[in-house]
Amino acid sequence: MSVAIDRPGAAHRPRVILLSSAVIVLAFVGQTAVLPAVGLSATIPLLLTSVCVLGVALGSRTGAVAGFAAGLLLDLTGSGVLGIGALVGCVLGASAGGIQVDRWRWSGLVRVWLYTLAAAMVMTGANAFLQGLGLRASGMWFWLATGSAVCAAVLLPLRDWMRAVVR
Amino acid sequence: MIRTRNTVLLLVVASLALILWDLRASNTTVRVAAQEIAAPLQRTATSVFAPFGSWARDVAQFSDPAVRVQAVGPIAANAPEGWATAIGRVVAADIAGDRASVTIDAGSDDGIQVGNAVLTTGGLVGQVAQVSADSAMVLLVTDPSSTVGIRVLPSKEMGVATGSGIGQDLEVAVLNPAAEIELADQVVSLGSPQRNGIPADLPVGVVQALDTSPAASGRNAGVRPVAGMTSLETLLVLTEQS
Repeated sequence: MSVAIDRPGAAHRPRVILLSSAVIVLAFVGQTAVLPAVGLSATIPLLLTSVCVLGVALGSRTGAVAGFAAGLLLDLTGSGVLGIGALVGCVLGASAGGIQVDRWRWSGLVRVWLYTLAAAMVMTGANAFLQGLGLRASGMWFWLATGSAVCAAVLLPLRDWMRAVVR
Repeated sequence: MIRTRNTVLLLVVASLALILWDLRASNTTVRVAAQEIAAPLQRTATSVFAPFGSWARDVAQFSDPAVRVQAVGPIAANAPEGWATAIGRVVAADIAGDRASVTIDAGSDDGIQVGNAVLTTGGLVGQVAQVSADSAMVLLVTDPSSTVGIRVLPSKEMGVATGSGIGQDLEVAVLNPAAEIELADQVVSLGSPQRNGIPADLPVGVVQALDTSPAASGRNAGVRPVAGMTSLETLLVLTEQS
């Protein structure tokens, strides 16, 4: 049984749209501009983690739509193939709706981390494959692994607040 | 449940259609439009967080033309003569995995065009890949899709430098299998025939490693780029040869 809200209801939809849009824009600007500005890597998947947490808080449908929009934003402003980020984000958001955070405290956190990490790795691998580029061992993987863990730990507690905002 | 499944299915199909569309034809117009929307947000965020990082510490004052010229002074001193230039500040970094590109806060309004060479203090760091009115995306030489024609000094052997990802040396393939290349040899740009491309003899890097077994199609070397690509601040764009 999923603890996420699958359908926030018609009356809540504007709030869901507003909240999701705000989270996506903030996470996008945070990842592409703020993280490099403070000396951290822009490969830390702040945006994908936010999509995952949106999925956990607001359900699979909202997660899928938010993930699609967030991924498309990454595709349009980055150098990857258009659609890869949208596809990965959509699947990530939809899958995150099934994460049961409340059953065991750490299982939710670990699953959000693993889902985000897997999504980031699939996105990187798919872009490299479709653009004919090889994948290499680099500092990017360290930033992906540790960054997604930190982002999950920071953002996941916000799910209750997100649910409260859209009610 | 069915509604959720249908939505996800629709979005997956839309994503696949986008992938096919992008692989069949380059869609720079859509990307430039997105860049025009995103760049002001990224610029604002960088200015707000400037006090927290050395990378963007003085970006708030950087809109002052005098400050820009002063900041770019050391780069301009090593730039080739006879070129119109534009000064750009790095406001965002690419986040598509192992890619290496940055966004600068100068664009076509400043005379920047796709293909322009981009310099930092030590020499060439990349080429403009996309441009909008007030921002441009610079593909760094370390990006795996970046290739630059080079010449190794003092032997003047020609070759191609390919990026290997963030923080990695460039992979240089020299055309002549019998080329006499030594460690610490300088690598410079070969030059482009276009008036707005990469000029010849811009420093690209220094030979750090050599493949001692001559390959059938040439000789390979690892080249350390002239600048640390993860700490770029002010960049000089060579817009057009006058």
